[in-house]
Amino acid sequence: MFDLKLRGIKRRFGAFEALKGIDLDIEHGEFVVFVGPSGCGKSTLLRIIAGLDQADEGDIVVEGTRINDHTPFERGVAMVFQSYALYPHMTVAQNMGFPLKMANETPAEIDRKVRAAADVLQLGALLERKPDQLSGGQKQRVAMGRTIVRAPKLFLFDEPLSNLDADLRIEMRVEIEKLHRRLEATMIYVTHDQVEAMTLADRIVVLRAGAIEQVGPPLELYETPVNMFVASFLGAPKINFLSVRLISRSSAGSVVKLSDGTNVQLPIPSVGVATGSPLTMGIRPEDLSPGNGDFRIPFEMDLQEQLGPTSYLHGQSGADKIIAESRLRVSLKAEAVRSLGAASERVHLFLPDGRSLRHIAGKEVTV
Amino acid sequence: MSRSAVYRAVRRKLLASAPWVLIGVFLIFALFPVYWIVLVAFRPRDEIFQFPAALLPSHMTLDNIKTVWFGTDTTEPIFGYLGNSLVISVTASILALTFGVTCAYALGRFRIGGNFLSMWILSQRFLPPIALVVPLFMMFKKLGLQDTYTGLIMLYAVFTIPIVVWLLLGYIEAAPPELEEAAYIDGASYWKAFVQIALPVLRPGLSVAAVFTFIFIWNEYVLAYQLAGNKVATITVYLPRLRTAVAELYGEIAAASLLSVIPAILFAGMMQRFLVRGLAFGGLK
Repeated sequence: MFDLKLRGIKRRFGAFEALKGIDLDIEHGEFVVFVGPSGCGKSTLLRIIAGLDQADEGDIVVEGTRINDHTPFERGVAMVFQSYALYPHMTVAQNMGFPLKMANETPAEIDRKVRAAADVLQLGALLERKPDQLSGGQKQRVAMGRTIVRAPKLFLFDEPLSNLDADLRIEMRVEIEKLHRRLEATMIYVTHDQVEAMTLADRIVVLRAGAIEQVGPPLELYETPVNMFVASFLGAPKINFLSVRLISRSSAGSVVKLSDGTNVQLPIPSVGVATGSPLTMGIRPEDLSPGNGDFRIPFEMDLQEQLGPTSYLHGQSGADKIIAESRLRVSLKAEAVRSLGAASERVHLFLPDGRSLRHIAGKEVTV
Repeated sequence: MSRSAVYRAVRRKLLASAPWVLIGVFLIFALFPVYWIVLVAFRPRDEIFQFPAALLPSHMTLDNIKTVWFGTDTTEPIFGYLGNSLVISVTASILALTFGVTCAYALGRFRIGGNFLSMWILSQRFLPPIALVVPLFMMFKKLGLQDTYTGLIMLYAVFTIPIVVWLLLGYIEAAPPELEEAAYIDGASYWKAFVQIALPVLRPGLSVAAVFTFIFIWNEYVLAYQLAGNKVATITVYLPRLRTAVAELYGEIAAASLLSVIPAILFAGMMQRFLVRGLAFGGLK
């Protein structure tokens, strides 16, 4: 069993506050992904969990024991680094066997475990090679092999796929997912790639500027982001933001005025928000279409990008830039698309400070 | 082809060959003294002062080499001095590398002492050795280190540690710390991560440092002459002794010089595999 509790983790680098008090519970067997832009503190948090860096304040608790002062090895963690960190002077077999050698296992036992891990990762033919004779994907496999040989309680991944090309990244992503299912181990994965986060995670932790913005299952974060930051971080192309104004409100919903003057009824309560307040409407590209919808937004199309299964319509709505996704496999003329339809169920409303009204629905809002 | 086209082609050829001409001039400048030493070493005595000097020997002789190798009534044989130099250079180099690499690793990886400490270590080499001769002489006298292997070896190790530290700092800072971090996670102690992971990675840098320290110590004269030189005399002390009161034994000096560079060349040759990679990789960026 391995459940991990982080309590008030803080870390400073000189005047820079890298982590501003992180509280997080991770359960046994969970796959948790830390995402956020560079400099948000996700790698620092991972290094603190690994024991490669020390928190200035706060507790790391595993199974009720505070492990702040434990060495990485005592914590029973294994880690895959972005640069793979393979020992260049050792063969693949020696690289994978190194943790076992450090644990004073017998050569026969090391050999058996390395071969077993190599079979799992299809590395059997490469055991006598040195790292500089391996491709990027093979190095990645060896780095994973080195982590699985000693059956750790916690796997840590620090942007493990960012040095691979697109095809290989998808392949290795699937490998990691399979590995997680087979080992049923707890895994923490750091990435700035929202696709990796969405596909791999049981729960995503979105970090910004050293603080957690939101924690939850991928779809929950995608569908009910707490604020504009989370909404724009997940999803590609990014969610569209439109400037609107609140006309009237009730506990059941709100009426907002679009840039072209049309009023739109949305099923999002906005109790406590003053009428006339400027708000931001968020609509994801796939929720906008040239076809039908509960309401329409004005649209001037600049360009259609054909991707095959879908196409992206780039343009403007009033002063706001818009991207819509169309499933119609036809070329659209700019004159033919003067507006886009949207489902009011799918729309988000954000306060001027970025918080989502849908997320805080029902609670009293003070602006 | 028009005339201007011909002119341009010629010009391009000339420009392309310019670097080679420069390199050639430099090589002649640098290698001519070496050639001259070889020439003098294998030339009969009466031809050495011949004027105008011949660029090619009329016939070769091994007399000079034999004289310095076996010695005569008036000249000592060279091999004792070569042996002294070898023992002192190798031992002091090993000491300097051992202390230097651990010191550089602590400075580079754990940022001990910040820039101040590493600068202070380098500053130990700002003073010319001759400025230290008198105080060192007095210390050596007090400690009974005069004219001993121990004295010279300790002295040379201390003198070359700063060179080792500064050469290796560049390599250590260029090497990714993730390798050692991965080793910590794999269960290695700081010491094991240093010995089993960091040291092998630093091997090119260590080779460069080894060649530099070895050659520095091999060629050192002032301290070897002032603080030792009777019972324990190195090859650099031997060479000027061939300018005796009776005669300037130029042929023998050339032969001894030639013999004295052979170990350094052999050592550098052995290390060359690492040197080329080492110089290209870090340190001297």
